[in-house]
Amino acid sequence: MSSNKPLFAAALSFALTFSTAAMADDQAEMAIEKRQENFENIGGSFKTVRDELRSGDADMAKIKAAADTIASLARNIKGGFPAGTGPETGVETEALPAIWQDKTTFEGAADKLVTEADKFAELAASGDASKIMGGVRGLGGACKNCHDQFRLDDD
Amino acid sequence: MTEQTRPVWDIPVRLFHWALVILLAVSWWTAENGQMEWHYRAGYTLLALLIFRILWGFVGSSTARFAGFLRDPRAVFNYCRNLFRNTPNNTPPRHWGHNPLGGWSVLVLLALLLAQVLLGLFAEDVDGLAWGPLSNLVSFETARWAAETHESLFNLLLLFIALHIIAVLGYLIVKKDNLVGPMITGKRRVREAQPETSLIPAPLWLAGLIIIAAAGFVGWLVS
Repeated sequence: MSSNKPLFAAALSFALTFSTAAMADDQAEMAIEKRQENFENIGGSFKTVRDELRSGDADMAKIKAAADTIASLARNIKGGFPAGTGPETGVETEALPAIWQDKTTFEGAADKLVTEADKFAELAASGDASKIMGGVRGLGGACKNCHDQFRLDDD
Repeated sequence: MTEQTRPVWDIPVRLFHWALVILLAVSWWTAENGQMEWHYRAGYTLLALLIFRILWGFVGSSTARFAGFLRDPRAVFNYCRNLFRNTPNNTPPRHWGHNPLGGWSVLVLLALLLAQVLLGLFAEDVDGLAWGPLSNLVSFETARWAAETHESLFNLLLLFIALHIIAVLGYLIVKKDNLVGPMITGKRRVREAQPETSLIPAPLWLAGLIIIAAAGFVGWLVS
C-alpha cells in the first residue's frame, strides 16, 4: 500500500545503517583477531628458538625455520592496524590509541622489529648456539620497545 | 595471678615467617622494576622455604604441625562464635599456637604462595625476555596463561595478606593479645590457669637437613 512506502523506506535505511555498522564492527574484529594471531605466532616461534637452545641439544634447522618465520611475520605488523581498529571499537584489544595518534613512531618501531628479526634470522642461520642466545636480547628488546609504548600493560 | 612466658613458636617457624615477608617484598619490587634475575632468585628461595615449611608441618615442633592446628569445622565455628566473648583476653585460650581460624588461614596463605611460585616457574613474558625455568616444558599459550595468572593471583594473595594483618591488629587492639611479639621472640605470655602451654620442639639439625634438601631440590629443578 502506498501509504506504507515512507515507513518501509525508513525501516530499510535504518536496517542498512545498522548492518553496515555491524559489518564494520565485524571487519574490525577480524582485523584485530588476525593481528593478534600474528603476534602469537611470532611469540610462539620465538619461544621455539629459546626452547631449543635451552634443551642442550638444539635442532638448528628448527631454530632457523622459526627465526625465518619471525622475520616474515614481523612484516605483517605495520599493516595490521588500519584506522578504526583500536580500543574505540569495543573489541578486546591491547592496542593503545597512541598507535594511531603517533603513527610515525609506531611504524618506526614496527620497522625496527623487521630489522632486528632479519638480523636474528641471519644469526640463526649461523648454527652457533651461544651467538643465537646472545641475539635473543636484541630481538626481545625490539619487541619490548614497541610494547612499552603501544601495548596495554594491565599490571 | 602471675604472668610468665612460655615458648610457642620454634626458630624455624619464626625464621620462615619473616623470611617470607622479606622475600615477598623483594619478589614484588623486582618484578615491578624489571630486575628479573633477582625476581627469579627470590622465587627459588621462596619455593625452597615453602617445601621446607610443608615438610616441617609434618615432622616439626608441635605448634608447627598441620595436625596440631588444622581443626574440624565445628572447632572453627565455636572459636569464631566465642571470639569476642573473651574480650579483652579475660579467659585464657584453649589452644597453644595457631587458633582454629588462624590455622586454616595459614593453609590458605601457604597454598596461595605455592601456587604463585609454581605459576612463575612456567611463565613467559610477551617480549621473550623473561621466562621461568620450566617454561620450556609447556606451550606458548600455557606459558602466557601462567604469566597472566601469576599476575592476577598476586592480587588474591595480597587480599589474604591484608586479612592476616587486619586479624593480627584486631587481636592486638580489640583482644589486647599481641601476636607479633611471639612470632619474633617465640614466647607467649601465659596465665597460671592456662591449660596446654607446651611446645614440643623438634631438633634444629632436622630443620637444617630439610632446608638443605629443599634447596638442593630447587637447585636441581631450575638448572
